[in-house]
Amino acid sequence: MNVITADDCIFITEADVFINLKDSMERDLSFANDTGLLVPKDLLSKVEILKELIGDKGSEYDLSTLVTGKYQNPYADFVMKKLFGLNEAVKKNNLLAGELAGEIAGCGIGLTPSSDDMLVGYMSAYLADSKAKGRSCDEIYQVTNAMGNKASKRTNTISGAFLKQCGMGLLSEDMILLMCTIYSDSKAETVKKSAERILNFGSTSGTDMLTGVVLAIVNLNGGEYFG
Amino acid sequence: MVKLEIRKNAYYDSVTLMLISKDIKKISGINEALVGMGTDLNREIAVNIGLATPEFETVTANDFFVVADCVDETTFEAAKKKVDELLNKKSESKDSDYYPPTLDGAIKIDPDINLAVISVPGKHAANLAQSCLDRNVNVMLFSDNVTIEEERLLKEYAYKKELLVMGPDCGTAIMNHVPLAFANVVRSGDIGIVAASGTGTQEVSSIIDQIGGGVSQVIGTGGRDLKKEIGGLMMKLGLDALIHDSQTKVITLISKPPAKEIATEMLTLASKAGKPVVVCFIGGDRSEIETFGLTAAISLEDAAHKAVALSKGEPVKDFIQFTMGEEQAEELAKENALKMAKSQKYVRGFYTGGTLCDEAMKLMLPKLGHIYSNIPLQPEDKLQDARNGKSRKHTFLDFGDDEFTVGRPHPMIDPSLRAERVITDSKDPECAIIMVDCVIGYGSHENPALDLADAIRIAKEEAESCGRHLLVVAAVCGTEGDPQSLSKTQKQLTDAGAVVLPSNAQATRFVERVLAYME
Repeated sequence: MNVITADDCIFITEADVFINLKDSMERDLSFANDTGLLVPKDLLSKVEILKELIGDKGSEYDLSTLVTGKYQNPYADFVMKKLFGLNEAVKKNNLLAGELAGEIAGCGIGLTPSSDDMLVGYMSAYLADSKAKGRSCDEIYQVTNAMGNKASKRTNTISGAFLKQCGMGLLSEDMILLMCTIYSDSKAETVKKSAERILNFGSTSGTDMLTGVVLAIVNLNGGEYFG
Repeated sequence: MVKLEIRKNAYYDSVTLMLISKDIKKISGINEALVGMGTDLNREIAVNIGLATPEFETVTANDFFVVADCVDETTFEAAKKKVDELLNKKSESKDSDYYPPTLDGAIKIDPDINLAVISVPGKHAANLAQSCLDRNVNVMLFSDNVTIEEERLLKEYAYKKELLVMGPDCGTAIMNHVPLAFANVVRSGDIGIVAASGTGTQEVSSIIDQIGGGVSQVIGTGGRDLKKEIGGLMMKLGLDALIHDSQTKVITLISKPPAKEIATEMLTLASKAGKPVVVCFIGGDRSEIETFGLTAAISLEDAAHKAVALSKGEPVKDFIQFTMGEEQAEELAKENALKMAKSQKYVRGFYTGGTLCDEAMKLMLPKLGHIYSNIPLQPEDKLQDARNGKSRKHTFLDFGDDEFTVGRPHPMIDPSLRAERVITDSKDPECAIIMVDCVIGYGSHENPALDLADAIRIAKEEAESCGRHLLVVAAVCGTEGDPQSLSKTQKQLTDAGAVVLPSNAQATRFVERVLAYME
């Protein structure tokens, strides 16, 4: 397929697609610039809201069972075995987390395999949690960069690109919004609404991302995955 | 034997892969199967669950694979055929026509375009609708999550330009005999419909077709059009369009009862139509309608019968009969009632169509007193946590309501949650009757009766094993011409043990008879 780029325009002639970026809105999707995050008193209650949403949307084909315990599938069984190691490395901000993310990536169905989506959610929450606790961002970015890079090598090109960007702290607008509502004094209803926007990503992607968010928050703040 | 199929550099979304995975496992002779992108881990998992084959070495992360443990070569060929069928189904719909990527692109190709169907995330819908109106294109706004302020602005602008904004959340329309979104294959005719109700419109237009009538136009307005904030702008414009449409000889208005002043305005306008008008304000007061010299309908089914009678110049009377005949209905009701155990007292209604649920509740409320629901008729009957909680006494649920559709398709597309609920409630010793709808036609699941019929079988067996008789009463909304076929759908449900009635209203009348015998 021929793709022609000129100035701020992209032409894909065979698909009759013309994208003009000249007047496009500029948004900084670098999470590094989001300051003022805090760990709210009701953090774990917010996690419960996320778990409830995951429970409603989740299916036997995704990784939602990691936080709901509702289903059994070979992908979730596999990830579960690797999760403990990743959790421990992340708690210590250890670069070994990169290797372990690589061992999890590329697992599950879909254009972006479920475990990749889960890792995107996991890294996003890890970054947000660290910022909210006032930890050194440089140190955390080293870990997430390693996670994104290693994971991207174990999956397909498209999914790998998302993982790399996430590791660099480049999150989607909706994910930034969710992190800001979780790590602030935002009300439960606001968290629910921003989480629902994530849930609407793809068919299983949103659920898997939210699952990753819950796994990371619970790992870094105590709490339970099920129940 | 383990067989592997590889598609190089092929990407498929997870919905496609879930469907493929589900369907190939159903093929007789397939013991285990896995589909996915050929990442290292997916290959490793395939090996771990006993699907190892040396050819896996050639699969890369950018390839799609299907691997299966099957009894023989022929079975795997059948699985491959099924995969192709499912994949081609998607690509056929993509390749059959040229789809311009932008509104301007579409208008450039065909400057005569004057109607757009908009189905995009709610936050973008109003802007897109405005762009259409600016270009004098009528709008069917399938999208929901458009604010009422946005709706008002759009409709005021459209009204001034005499353009239609059907919606937001408008699921059904038939324009110049072309069905749009969720619509049924109905015969062309002289009955025009303007409606603020999706499945209500499908029920009326389908019954019109079943009893030999036909429709000229079906104009949807969106459920909020008759609220004070909007003032029925599109109902007025739609009504006016049908008044001036030479193909339309009889007009039918369908809506929940509007606010008094809006109702008066609509009825006044209808009374000046110069054509017969049937008004179905579902559960509303018929005398108010008749004061204006209009024909009032007491149910959706009745609206269809009256419209057809007017179209054929026949006398108009309330339709409260049973198509199967009074005696047979009585006999069947008695037979079922006598089989019930003493513990069985309550009716459960599980609907995929919101208006059908609402109509059933309104028709049965006088008999049942209280009906607990996620869309209750009385505030005190609100059922909390309808999705995950238990039913309470008489419970009717609209599975298309927001609570059930967060992050999942509408139940007319994916009726599985409703099917699960049929099974769950069959275990309740107090549950006597389960009422269900089954909406077919364009847009609906390709065979919505399939999962439902399985659930009915399981539910009845479950009750039977505990010494109870569970009565399942079903009504299919659709026509013989629909892709799923009315008779085939009805037969599947009948074969599963349901009593199938030809309309939602007849189903409620039948259940009332059964309850009378149970008393």
